[in-house]
Amino acid sequence: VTLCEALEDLAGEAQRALSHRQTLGFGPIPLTLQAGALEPIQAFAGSLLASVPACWPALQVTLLSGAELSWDQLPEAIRPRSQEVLVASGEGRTALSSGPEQSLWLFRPEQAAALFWAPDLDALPPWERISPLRSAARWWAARQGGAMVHAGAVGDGERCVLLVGAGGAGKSTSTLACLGSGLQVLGDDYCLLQAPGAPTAAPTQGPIAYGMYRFAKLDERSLALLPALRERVIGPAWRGKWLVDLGITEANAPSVAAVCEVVQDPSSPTRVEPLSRMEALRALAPSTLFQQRLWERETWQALTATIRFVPTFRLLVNDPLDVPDQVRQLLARTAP
Amino acid sequence: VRLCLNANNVVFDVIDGEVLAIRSDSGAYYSMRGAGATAWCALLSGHPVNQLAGPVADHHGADPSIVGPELNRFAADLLGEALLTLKEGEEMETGDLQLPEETRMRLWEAPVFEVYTDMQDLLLFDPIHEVDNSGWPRVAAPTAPAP
Repeated sequence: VTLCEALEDLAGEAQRALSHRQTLGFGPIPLTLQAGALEPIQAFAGSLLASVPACWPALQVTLLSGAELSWDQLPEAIRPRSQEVLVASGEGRTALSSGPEQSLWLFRPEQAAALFWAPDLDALPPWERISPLRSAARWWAARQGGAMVHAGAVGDGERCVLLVGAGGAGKSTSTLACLGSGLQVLGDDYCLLQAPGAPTAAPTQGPIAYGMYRFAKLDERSLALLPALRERVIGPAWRGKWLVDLGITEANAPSVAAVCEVVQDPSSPTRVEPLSRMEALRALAPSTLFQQRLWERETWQALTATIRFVPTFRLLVNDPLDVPDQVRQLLARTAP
Repeated sequence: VRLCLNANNVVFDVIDGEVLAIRSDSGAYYSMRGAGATAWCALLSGHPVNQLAGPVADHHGADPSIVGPELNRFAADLLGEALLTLKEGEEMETGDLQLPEETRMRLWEAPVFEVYTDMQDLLLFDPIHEVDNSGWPRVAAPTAPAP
């Protein structure tokens, strides 16, 4: 019996005891969550942006806690332990065991199902509660010819600009500077991307971005630059950051009008300048791929297909409060 | 000597005459400019490296005596970073050498090879031990740190 088969069997037995189930949406993913208690489902659902039409295939995610399946029962080789992240994959299935997060994922494409195990679903690390199901989203997106990208997204409802850059580049601050400006913020850190040429995309359709989460994170320095956002702060996140309510409950599905690398530049006024596609890819791809090294090939293909389809720019930010106007100008400049 | 892509760990694309390659196991990524795209495609072709200078020079309208040493240096860089590996035990590639149309007759500039390691912290933060497909469902033993 293989590791995943053993895990599937155990999960199958444990699943029979699960009495709570809720069908909702997660960006483009029609999602069914099931668990032994209602609280973890509500906690996860409360952070997700609701689904939109023109969706991807449905996905079922089972949440198992130590009450249904104890750590001792898990196949020994992939029990979450120490600082290791273990991946077993083959025959299309993948098990991902994270010691640091004390969690275990099993992805089963034939069943369009994923399983998440943690010893106590009520005591997950804050990032798993605020930005839950990232691994499942990344997996499911890759299977649909899309990607979960490390990018902010801001648009006018019809079209959006992906704001990309390495951690610390000012991506979140620039994205969240657009809150309350009349523009729509889909997310500051992650969004789901349907790439051109994806099976779910129309033949000539360009990339589409979907928001994932209702909340963003901002540190004190950025809040000082954007004081109007203090009224949107709903509590602490982690590592000294604050949780900011994006003020939306549904994931919009704007087409991607441009990819824009964010760079801080206090030496001159905030402005946008052209950027080579390769430089834009360099700003987008490594941080997306290295967030979690699974399904890199599929994710890479979605990223390169997107970069080939849309114009690319660099946003040099002096004052984040200038960003909304720059995004509007960029949307106008790239209008079809 | 013939070379091939380290396909298990490298993804790449050629866009507008430039190459971006990423090594998913080490967290390093690479930009190749100048005549890097031509040289990259030539070296990936599986043709013997010592037979590439002529066609690559023709592609750029350049002098093979200049192109040859620069191609060898570039190949050494790619091997050193394990983007390419030595190709062994297979039949000689005899097909036409396919070079990128977008760089045809572009002025020869020595390949510029840039290495970026700023993302490696992400991987160190999230050490991952993978099982290769042939090893399913065996969990791999912890591997040595990537070079």
